Amino acid sequence: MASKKLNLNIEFKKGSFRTASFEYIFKPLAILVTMLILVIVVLNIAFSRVNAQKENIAKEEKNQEILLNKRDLLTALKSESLSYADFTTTALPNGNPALIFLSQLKSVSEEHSVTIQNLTAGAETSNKTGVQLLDMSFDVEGQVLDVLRFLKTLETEIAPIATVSNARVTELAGAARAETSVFVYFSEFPTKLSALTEPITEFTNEEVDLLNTLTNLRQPAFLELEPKVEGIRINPFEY
Amino acid sequence: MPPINLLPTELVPKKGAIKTSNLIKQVTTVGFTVLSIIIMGIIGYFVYLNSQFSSLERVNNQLVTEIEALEGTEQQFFLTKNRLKGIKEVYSADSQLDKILQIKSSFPPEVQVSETEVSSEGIGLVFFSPNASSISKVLETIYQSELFDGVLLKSFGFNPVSGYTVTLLMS
Repeated sequence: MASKKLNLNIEFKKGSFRTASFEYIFKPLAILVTMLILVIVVLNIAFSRVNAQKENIAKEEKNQEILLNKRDLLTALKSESLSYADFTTTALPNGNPALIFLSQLKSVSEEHSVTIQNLTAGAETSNKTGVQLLDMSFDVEGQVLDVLRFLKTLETEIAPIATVSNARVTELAGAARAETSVFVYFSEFPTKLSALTEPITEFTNEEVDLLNTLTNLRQPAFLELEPKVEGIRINPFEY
Repeated sequence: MPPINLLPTELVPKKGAIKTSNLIKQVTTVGFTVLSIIIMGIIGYFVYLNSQFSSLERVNNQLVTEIEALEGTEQQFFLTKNRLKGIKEVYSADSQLDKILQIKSSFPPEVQVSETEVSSEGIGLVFFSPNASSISKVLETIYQSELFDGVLLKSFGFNPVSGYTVTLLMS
């Protein structure tokens, strides 16, 4: 029975492609091919993981550089930042600056010996860059040069910042009357800070010059009303 | 005594096949060893990268904490930058008032300016002059100041009582 089985097996092998030599090579070859496939797969995964981690490291290094720079800059600015913010906010306030400007107008006009008449505040408009402007019109009367210097002072020496958009000065015997339109500027505060890892740049020379100019502007005089201290109430029925 | 091989000759592999098989086995063994070394190397490198990444992350977290403590300063700095940007735009425009103050002080005293109109487009000027030479002095002052790209003579009149009346538009 056993010899019959063996013969059958031999017959089968003879007629097929699987010869003894092929069988002998097939097993190690299969292992080699499997290993090669494994090498390709493993190296592929390994390199992609390594590259991804390298990218992460590069990103973290960049972040570290930004954060270090940011920390150093903020530490250096810590003592000055509040005054800078104050000066710039007075020069370009958050809300409608009509009242502050009126106060400044009064003070500057007294200084230049000119009188202000027909004062009107127009509508607020917004320009392309997001800075809003308030159109204020008034007539100025005084000596010619006083009127012109007064207008120049409004443009260059007071906070909030303003520009003379239109001035029609008529002169007669040294006296002048200027029908003036002035744009007073303001801008809403930013609503959110930049991302923590976003780089910040220190003030440029131009910005430092501008900050120096702004610190020299005449600041509006704010009157702070102190709460009245409660005194001793006198009993009116006590004699 | 030689070994007895009862297998039929068809089942005995050829010598070449045995050689090839042995070669493949050797290649496989060497390959496997090399692969193992490479994998271990990569694992080692990956562990090194991981530790480097963790260290960077730790330092960055520390920096973030420090920056968060300076949040007030950051807000003020950001606000200052934002305000400066707006102010720079406003100040970038040329002031016409500067120009008129500059040239007007150089006009001859006999010239009487009756009207000055300052706008973003330029400066309009109406003046009286008793003689023609004063007009040429005014024009010369304007020309020498180099403040304007162009000067347009809008009107020119003469009156025997008040003299010449000139309207200029400078831009």
